[in-house]
Amino acid sequence: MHAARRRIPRPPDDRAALVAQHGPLVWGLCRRLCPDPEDAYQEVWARVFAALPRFDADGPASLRTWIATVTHRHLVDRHRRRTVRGEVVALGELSAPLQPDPVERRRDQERLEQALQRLPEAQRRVVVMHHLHDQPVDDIAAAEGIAVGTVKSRLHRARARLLELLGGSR
Amino acid sequence: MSVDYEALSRLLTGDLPPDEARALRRRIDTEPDTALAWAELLRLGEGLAALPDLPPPPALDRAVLGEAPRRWPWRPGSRRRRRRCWRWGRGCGVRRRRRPSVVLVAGDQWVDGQLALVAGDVPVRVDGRARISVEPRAAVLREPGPQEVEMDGKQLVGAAVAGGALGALLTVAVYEGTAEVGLADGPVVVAAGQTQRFDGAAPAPRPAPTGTLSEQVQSLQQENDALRQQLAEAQFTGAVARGQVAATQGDPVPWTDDVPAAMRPEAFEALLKAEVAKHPGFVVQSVECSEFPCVTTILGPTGGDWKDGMRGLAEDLSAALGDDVGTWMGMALAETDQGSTGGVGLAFAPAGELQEEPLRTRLNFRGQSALHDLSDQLEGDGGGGDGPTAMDVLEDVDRMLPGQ
Repeated sequence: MHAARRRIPRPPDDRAALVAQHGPLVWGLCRRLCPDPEDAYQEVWARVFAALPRFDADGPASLRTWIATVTHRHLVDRHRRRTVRGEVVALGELSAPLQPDPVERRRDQERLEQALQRLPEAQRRVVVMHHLHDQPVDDIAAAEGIAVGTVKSRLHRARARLLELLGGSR
Repeated sequence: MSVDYEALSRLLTGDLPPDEARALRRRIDTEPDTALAWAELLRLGEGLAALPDLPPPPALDRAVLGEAPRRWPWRPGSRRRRRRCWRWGRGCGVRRRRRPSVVLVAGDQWVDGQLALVAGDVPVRVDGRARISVEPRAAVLREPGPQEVEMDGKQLVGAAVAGGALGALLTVAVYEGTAEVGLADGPVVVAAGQTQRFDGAAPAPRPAPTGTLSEQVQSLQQENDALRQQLAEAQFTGAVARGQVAATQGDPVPWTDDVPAAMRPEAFEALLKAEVAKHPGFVVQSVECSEFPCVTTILGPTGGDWKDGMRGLAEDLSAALGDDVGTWMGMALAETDQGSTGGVGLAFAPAGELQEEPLRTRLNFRGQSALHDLSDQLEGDGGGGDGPTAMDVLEDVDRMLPGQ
């Protein structure tokens, strides 16, 4: 009797499809969370390919979530390996508050990307994972190796900082 | 009354105690500023969730899939073996700090210090103070796909998405130092006081329209979609780059009226020279006061516990500047066959400001830039002979505050 066959992409044929489908996810995380995204992007995929046989297609996590988690953990590792001093944010007025007008949407997104980049890296990671990739705080805490309360604190501080950077009213 | 964004965020996620939550809700109902901040917070979540993911450069995917050579992490120190070694308080194994790679798609970028960037599709290396402007030409069309730009031995695939900037007009204005523009037919050095404009690559000729009118419309629509995609990618790249530059370099700190008189440029320079004259063997190498505070580099003797000598000079300068003066200090040691030379970078500010933003980030950037300049100067003096040939970058600096 055969166990249910797992839907595991088998290299090398499925790798291209995997990269094509989830490349933007990985690239977005690397670009937003890492100072050298090209290197990180390749390292993440090497790690994904290596770990792919261990992915449980019948488990609770979707492949997309699993890849996001692998990427997140890898970026945390990279951050810890680097010697990064200080948490840097200079408050600068980046102009007016967010506008709902669709014409302004692109400009708002640019300003938001800029503001994200000015967050301390640890805060930026939790914001990106939580708000852009819908990761629950519990999962973020596990990937970061920190307490859930710390993740929440970082989220609160990061939201406050983003609003300040975006020129919110005070 | 000021708005507490963090408290609003806690209210949003239900992390505020009930009594505080009730009080804050009342403020939202009654205070326009708080209500506006609440609305902004809600929009922030929507805005973040709507940020698009963009496809990676195709060349990177090819590398991932083994169809192209893997891009190994670039390490500046690996290009040639260093014959000599500069140390920053620590061992010689410390690597030169990697400087950021920046892609400027459109608009202006001020550079203060040493920075390699890609402006339009042209690599530019600034060492000094310069303004780089990129003006995209509206009618430029280009083939989609990656562009690879060689810079410092590193292939910058990401620059490819600066599609709108191909054929752009590049203006480089140098106020101090130099900027090297990597044109296809060879580098051009723009010196201090010069402004040069560079015309980008000529746009590819448009093919003559073929097919029926509806097919032409469809083709143009596809071109339009592709250009919109390139524009979105370029804007994303530009936004990220601008944020990275701001985070790395900080914002200039102006001279304000409340800066102590002794720290103002002329007074500081006079005091610096007077104090250094009291320390035999020390020589002021540079004083840079274009923004607050002045940053100086000094060369001095080594031997024994040479760092104590450097620190002693810093403490004497700090004391001469007044009470409650904080000190930013980085030290270096150049070892050669003929002996060694010590270097120190110093800056002074009121103690309360030294640890605060925006001074903290800006001073780190300026101080390290000054030390890089010192390195380059010594490297130039060495001329490939017996002088020091390189300096490893300071990662840790001392901040001496009164009472420490």
